[in-house]
Amino acid sequence: MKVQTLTLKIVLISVTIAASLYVSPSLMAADVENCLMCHKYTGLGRIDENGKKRLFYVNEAPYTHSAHGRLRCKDCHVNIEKFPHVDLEKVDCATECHLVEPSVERKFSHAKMIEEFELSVHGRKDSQGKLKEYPEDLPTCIYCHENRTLEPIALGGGIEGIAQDVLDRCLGCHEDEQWTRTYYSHLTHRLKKRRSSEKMVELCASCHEDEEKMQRHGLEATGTYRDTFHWQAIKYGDTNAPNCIDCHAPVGYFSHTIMPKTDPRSAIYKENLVPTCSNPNGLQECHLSATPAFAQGKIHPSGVKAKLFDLKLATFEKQEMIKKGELKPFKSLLAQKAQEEFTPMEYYQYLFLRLIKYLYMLLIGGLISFMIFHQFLDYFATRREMKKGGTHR
Amino acid sequence: MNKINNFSTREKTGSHAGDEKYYTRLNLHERIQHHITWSTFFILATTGFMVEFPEKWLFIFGSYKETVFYFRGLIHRIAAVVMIANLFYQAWYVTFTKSGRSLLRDMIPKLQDAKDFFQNMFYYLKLTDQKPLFDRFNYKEKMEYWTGWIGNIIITVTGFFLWFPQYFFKIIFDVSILVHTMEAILASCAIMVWHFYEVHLKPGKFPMSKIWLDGKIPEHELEEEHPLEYQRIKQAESASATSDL
Repeated sequence: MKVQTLTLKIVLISVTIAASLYVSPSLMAADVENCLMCHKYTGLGRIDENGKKRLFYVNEAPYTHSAHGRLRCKDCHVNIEKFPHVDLEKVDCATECHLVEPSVERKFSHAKMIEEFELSVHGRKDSQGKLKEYPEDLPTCIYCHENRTLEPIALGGGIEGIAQDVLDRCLGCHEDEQWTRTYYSHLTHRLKKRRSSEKMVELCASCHEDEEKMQRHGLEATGTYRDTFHWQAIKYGDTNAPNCIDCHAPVGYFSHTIMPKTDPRSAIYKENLVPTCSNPNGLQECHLSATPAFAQGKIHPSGVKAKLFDLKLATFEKQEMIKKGELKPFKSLLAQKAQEEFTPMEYYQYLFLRLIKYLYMLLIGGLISFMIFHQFLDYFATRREMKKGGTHR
Repeated sequence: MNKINNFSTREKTGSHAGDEKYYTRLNLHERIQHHITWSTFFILATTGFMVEFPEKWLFIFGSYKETVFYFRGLIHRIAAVVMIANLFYQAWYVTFTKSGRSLLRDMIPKLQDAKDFFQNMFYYLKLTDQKPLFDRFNYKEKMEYWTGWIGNIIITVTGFFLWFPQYFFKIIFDVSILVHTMEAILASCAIMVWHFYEVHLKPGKFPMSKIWLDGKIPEHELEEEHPLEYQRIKQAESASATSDL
């Protein structure tokens, strides 16, 4: 600990000397507490007790344009009182900050949102308010929300950037240009999706495709979404194709209170599927004339095309775990789930699909091998004929 | 009389360079049908398998990924409509034209084809020296023709359900997407192994047989590959020659 403090002190001294030489006054304007005096240096960081690299560098330009750009550092990093900053608490998004929310003139806080989220399927507490099993697996605010830079769009065209004619109108009353730009960005950057569909799928899949993690929580890993045409379109960047959120929390639902398919409040609950598939209120053009007959059954866990998922996870460790019986192969897990959870009708449909799949695989394998065999023989026979002076010229 | 009808559509077409005689193997109708078939097949297979490309390949499209995807779907559908129209054209051709009816008649699988197949396999394996004598269409060509029809119909029906999924049961969609993909894999593999060998890679044919371009088969090739038909044509030629005298 002492060595670390000493190194920190050395770093701080050298940084202060460097700072006095290089700091330009314009950069410091927004930073009242003068944290950037040190934190603007890209090399500021250390290796912590657990051997993890920690970087304390703050890039000012994107930060001031981010959603939190107008907050002081100590609004969130609450117990910074001394040098070096030791015994820091983790930032809690429920903290009341000094920013006053203009609509209600109260201090701003995310506490209400967090309360709602904590009760959802992703929250750490169950309906009785008790901590769930393996709470460390569950996502917190910053798992999905990074402090992203505001990316305004020019109203009307949907092009990125600020529309000068719109800004000029705002400036008619709001004279402070910096303030106006910030609020323009604050409003308009919510008019477009923050993540591309591809990035959204990656975010959800970072947990939901982790077989071990899902098994711990009694869920099946999403190995088959990438077999659907929805994903095929998304990987090509099609903005009309649905990512995870578009079906699991479409217009009228909220991603913070996302529910499992067994809950009547879920968008993918049996009775709610028709509006989810037809998506009449959404921006995307989906299966508008979807009938109840179409909007039923499994969209991606059908498992029929779960072709490469087992292969994708076929690391040596996983293989060993499967051998020991700690982990089930994905395919057999799906088959087991199908037997337990499907209605008899769904189960027969599932078996029917598997049957077709295996018949085709047999047909392809058998027929093509026969063809290759046949043509090989033909090749040698033709060569024999040519040697004998056959009429192939 | 029937026999004469049979090859009257396939009259001798005079000589090309040298003294090699040529006979018509594919008439204009059949050549057009073949051209539409291969071109739509190529387009459909390419645009179809594009959805199965692994994610990491897609960087080759750069920032045009979404545009590529849009036109992929559009072109696939246009080619599909052309392919289906071609099916109707072929159905009309084999029903309402004389040459088409003769093609259909010669394509009907017979017991002789099974015998030919076994004899050919024995010949390949040097168990017999006697090569089977093929007629106008051998068992390979018949197999290709009829699996072509079956595959085309399967692909068309499942493709229709994939185009308009929302009006039908979900299970129909599930079956369709599976069968459509599997049938496409089967057809593409079959074409590459069976057809490309037969007309491109086979010794003596390489780089390709030219029948698909001008529809004409040289006499020696006809004699060797379709000896029964060749005999019939020769007989008819001599018969007409004697009747001319």
